[in-house]
Amino acid sequence: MKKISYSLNISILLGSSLLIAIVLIGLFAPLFSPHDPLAVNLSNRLTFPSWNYPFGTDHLGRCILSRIIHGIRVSVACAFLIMIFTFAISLPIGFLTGYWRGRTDHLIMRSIDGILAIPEFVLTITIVGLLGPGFFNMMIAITMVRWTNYVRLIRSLVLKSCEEDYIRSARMSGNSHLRIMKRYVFPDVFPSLFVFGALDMGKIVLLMAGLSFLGLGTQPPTPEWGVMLHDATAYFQIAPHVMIFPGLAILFFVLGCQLISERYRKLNSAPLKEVNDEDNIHKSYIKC
Amino acid sequence: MIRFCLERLAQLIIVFFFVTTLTFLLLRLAPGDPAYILLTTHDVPASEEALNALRKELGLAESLWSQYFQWITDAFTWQWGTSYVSKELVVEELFRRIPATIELATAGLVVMIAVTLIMGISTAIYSHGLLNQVGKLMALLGSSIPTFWLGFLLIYFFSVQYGWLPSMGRGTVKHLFLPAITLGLGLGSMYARVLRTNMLEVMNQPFIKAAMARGLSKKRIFIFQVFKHAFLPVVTMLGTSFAFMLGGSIIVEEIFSWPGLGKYIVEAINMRDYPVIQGYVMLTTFIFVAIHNVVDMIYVWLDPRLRVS
Repeated sequence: MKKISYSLNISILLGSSLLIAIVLIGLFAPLFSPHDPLAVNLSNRLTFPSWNYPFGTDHLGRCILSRIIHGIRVSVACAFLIMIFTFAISLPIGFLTGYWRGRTDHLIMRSIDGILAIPEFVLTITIVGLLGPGFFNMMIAITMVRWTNYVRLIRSLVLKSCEEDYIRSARMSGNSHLRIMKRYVFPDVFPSLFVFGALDMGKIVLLMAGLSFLGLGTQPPTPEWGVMLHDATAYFQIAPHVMIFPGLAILFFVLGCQLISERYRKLNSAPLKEVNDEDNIHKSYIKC
Repeated sequence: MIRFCLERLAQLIIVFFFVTTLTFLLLRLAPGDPAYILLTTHDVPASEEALNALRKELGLAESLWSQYFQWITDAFTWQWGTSYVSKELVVEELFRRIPATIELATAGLVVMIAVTLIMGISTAIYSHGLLNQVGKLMALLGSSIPTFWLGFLLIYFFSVQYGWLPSMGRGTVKHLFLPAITLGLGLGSMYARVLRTNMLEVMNQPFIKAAMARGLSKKRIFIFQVFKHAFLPVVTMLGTSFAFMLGGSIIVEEIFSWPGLGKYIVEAINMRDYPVIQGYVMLTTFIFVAIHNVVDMIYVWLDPRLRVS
């Protein structure tokens, strides 16, 4: 097993404390939010930040801080769910293709290459478009697009892991395939997957915010960061705070994910770098 | 080289075939009856007779296989149907909006390349200074900042506060500034890091030492040897980033009311204009794959090592 040296490092410390803080605030949202995120107060529209409303109010007089805090629940929980769906699809397929190479592997990988030929955002937006705008359709669409990346990642990690001597000896000592995968391959692959997933959480949150911003994802009045920015379009010229704070929330969350993963990539760059290289489509083209 | 091009052409056709099949499947999987949606878009009461007549007209009454065959032949002969909303040919509608999007993506690409070159080279030269820290921070922010938020900030500062640049529409070069920066800045600062690492790596190579030993000036070495070598991998990224621009332009066009493909597709999605959505996917994929292949060819042309293998 590879050992990762977790030296105390500023970027990891910063990133993880940022994420932990965000998740904790999200978990205990009612404790932290000063107002009801859905309470409309039309006499209090678009007020600038004050003691009572630290981030000001939006076009319906709702407290922006409370909406951002409750938005953590929607955005982060949703990204987490998408991650679980994605792994549920890509883990079996990735293990299948990486462990038993051959015709099935070839077929699956070629069709994945076909899907990857379509720009990711374009495909996501199309699937949302065909299914119709909405919260669940957005989740389905993102999962449907993102699993391909994971299959490629898992496959290459499994391929690499299977070359190790201890897997060979495990195979020789008569372990069943399932046991080898469970006991030896999976623990070897897991740390890299975990980190890749953590980094991807940030990307998923960005993607969701983008879709919601276009009005295709989460629908108002749900407090979600992308929706808040969508609502802000008409008002940010007179009240910039309606746009600045939700954007900062997204930025901080994604930044937290980036900080952690960046450091990890430097510490343990071999497997992920390879995958990144593989993502360079020209190289895979040239190889074949 | 000719064989290489032919191979690519074959690949292009296969990918196109695959995408058309995928869009066909997606449309069949989509909930709702197209005939019903079409009628309700035009506020016609959806009686059973009207529905049946329309299904026949759209070819929905036939078997799935014949529909699929029809769809494939139509797709390859550029007959992508008519828009439910405007009743005009999808191909025409799309082609009318392509120039705006290409213009925006190209401008974004120019910004991206400029940022990559300026930041990449200067941080490679002053590799351990304040500038390098700024570059690092920019790359980190560039990969975390939501595009639409950056667009908002730019509009707020440059249009609302100071009124220097227009915030929406298409027309003069001035209109291009803000959308192009929104599109290209983040990606450019990320690639600048890649260029910097490449350049620093190249500087350790023996041939640079040899050049130094021959007494070439530092400037000359930097421009003609290091940069030339380090820029190769960046060229390939241009292809990938163009794809990003096509996707990213959807949001940027929406923010800046840019009359291109991206804005059109969002409208189409909200109106449930299926033929337009299909046409859009096929078109962008086609452009994307074509550009990828062109970039590959340039790469092979630039790097003689690849021609041998």
